[in-house]
Amino acid sequence: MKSRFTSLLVTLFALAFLYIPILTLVMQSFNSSRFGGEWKGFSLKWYEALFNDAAILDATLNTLIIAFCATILSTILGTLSAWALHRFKTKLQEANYTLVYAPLIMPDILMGISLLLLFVSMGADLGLATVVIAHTTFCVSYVAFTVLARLQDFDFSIIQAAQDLGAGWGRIIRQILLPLLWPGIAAGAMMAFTLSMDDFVVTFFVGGPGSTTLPVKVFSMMKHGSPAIINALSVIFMSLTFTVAIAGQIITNKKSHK
Amino acid sequence: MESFFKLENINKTFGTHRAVYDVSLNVNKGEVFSLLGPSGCGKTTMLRVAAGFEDPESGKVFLDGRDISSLPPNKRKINTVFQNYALFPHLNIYDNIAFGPRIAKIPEPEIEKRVKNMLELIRLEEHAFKRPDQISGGQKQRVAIARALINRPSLLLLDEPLAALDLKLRQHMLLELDRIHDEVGITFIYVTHDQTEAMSLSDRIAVMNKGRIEQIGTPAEIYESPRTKFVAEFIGDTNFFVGKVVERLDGEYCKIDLFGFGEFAFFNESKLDAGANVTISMRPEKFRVYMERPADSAASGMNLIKVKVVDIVYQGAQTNYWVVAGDKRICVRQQHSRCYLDLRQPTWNDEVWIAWHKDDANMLAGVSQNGES
Repeated sequence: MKSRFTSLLVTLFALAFLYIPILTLVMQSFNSSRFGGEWKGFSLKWYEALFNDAAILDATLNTLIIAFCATILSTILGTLSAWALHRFKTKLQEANYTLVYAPLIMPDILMGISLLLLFVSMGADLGLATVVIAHTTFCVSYVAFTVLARLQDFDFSIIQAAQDLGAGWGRIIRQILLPLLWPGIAAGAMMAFTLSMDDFVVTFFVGGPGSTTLPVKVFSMMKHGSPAIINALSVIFMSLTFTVAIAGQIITNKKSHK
Repeated sequence: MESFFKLENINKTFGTHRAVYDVSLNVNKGEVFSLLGPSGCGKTTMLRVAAGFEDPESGKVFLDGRDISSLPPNKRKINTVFQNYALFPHLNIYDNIAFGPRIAKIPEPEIEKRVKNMLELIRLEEHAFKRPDQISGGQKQRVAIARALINRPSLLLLDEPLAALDLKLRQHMLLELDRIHDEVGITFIYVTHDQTEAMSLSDRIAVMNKGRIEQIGTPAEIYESPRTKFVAEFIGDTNFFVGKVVERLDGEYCKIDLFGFGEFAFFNESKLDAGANVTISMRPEKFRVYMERPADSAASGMNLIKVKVVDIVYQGAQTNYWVVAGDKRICVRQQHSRCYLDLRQPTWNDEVWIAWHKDDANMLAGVSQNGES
């Protein structure tokens, strides 16, 4: 009993440690006081102000456009690279594996600077396109490794069984591969989406005028704008991220338990 | 009978490993033909060539008179039952079985009828809407068989279908397979390393070793009259003796000097002349054991030697005696048609007589020249 009590205590402490800052943020977003701290009554005025701020709405739209494009591109590329990493046995595979793995461990700031250098030396205009490319670059790795995990317990003899029963490749992909790999692909895509939506560092480097995303906007508002609006914005932003992340979890769990 | 399925001069190499050497075989319509051999003997490669999963370097595959060598697996009227079942985990039993007919664009009502028939055949009607991970190994195997058979293939290939099952279930599934074969009448090619499975199920067996076929024959031919040392050793237990032909006797017999034992009469199966070296295979159960020297053994065509019992393994239905004569250990098997406890039985260090009929030994081809033991 004693140990159960202790573990309960530890759990509560850990939860408090993790979530009190977030709860504070949520509370402050409803505080009518301009600078937070003291509670001056419930108010939705910051949310109102938020939705009347054209620059924030622009940034939201940019963020969503970038996240959608980067997710689609990185899901396709990541799934294909997972397939290539798993199915082909050559001496180059180890190098390929490292290449796909590298973005996972490379510091964001390095990635941001190197991509910026690349874009500048290519003479590319910094904007939505460069941000999408940059996001795709690091998201591919996450998708590739989630799909690869799925492929590792995939029984390839069922592909031969399908061929044996008369199926061509089109049918095998549609009726066997995609349904079975779907949980991995979906989880990878969700992860890519949240990563892209959250990213600040890389976006900060490779973005240009007209491609300001929410994280970048929040950063500049910290310096020049109203912190209270940021609170409201963060709450909305956070709910969205949580929703996507939880949805991803549910899909993977449901499928892997069958 | 004209051959229904034919593999002609198949050669296959993986990297530097030659898996199959110029193998040909003919399978008759409606028979169960087994490829039997130890792992790595090339039997699975042969099966995969038949199914179209492997391209042989040379050689041709014929089905019902047509050359199908260049057809991909999905265009051959051949279906395979895989060793690990390979059921589609995301589809239920019904949809697994209906997979083939749906590709063939058979109308859904007809598919439903066929799937029902198949479920009846494999006796899994009540499990139609379960997923593969909700049924047992034996049931999965039956689903795999139904999924293959529903396409009405000309030929069904079975790749070690029972290897993953435990002994009792394996015996049960053997009977099931036999029943299914009788009901559908489709030609089966059955790959296994288990001689009991091959013997129980097959009309004919091809014994393979190191990428070559050693012998093709009915189970009884393979067991009673193995042509090579490998076949004699791989199927059942046996004793090898080496010797030299002394002279040809009247009729079809010859006198052989079995080194260390003296001269005996044997059926001269290979029609050898005096001076030829031979290897002889003797199954343990072909010997009879006598406590005393039997009186009329010579008259009844028996050969006789005196031996000493060194080891006894009682197995209930039978006992294996290990006996020595000189420095040669011989395994002798006695069935107990009478109660073992009621009769006096040979015991350790007893001197007994063992006898065999001159027709019951087997001359081996191919190894008779070098005289190795």
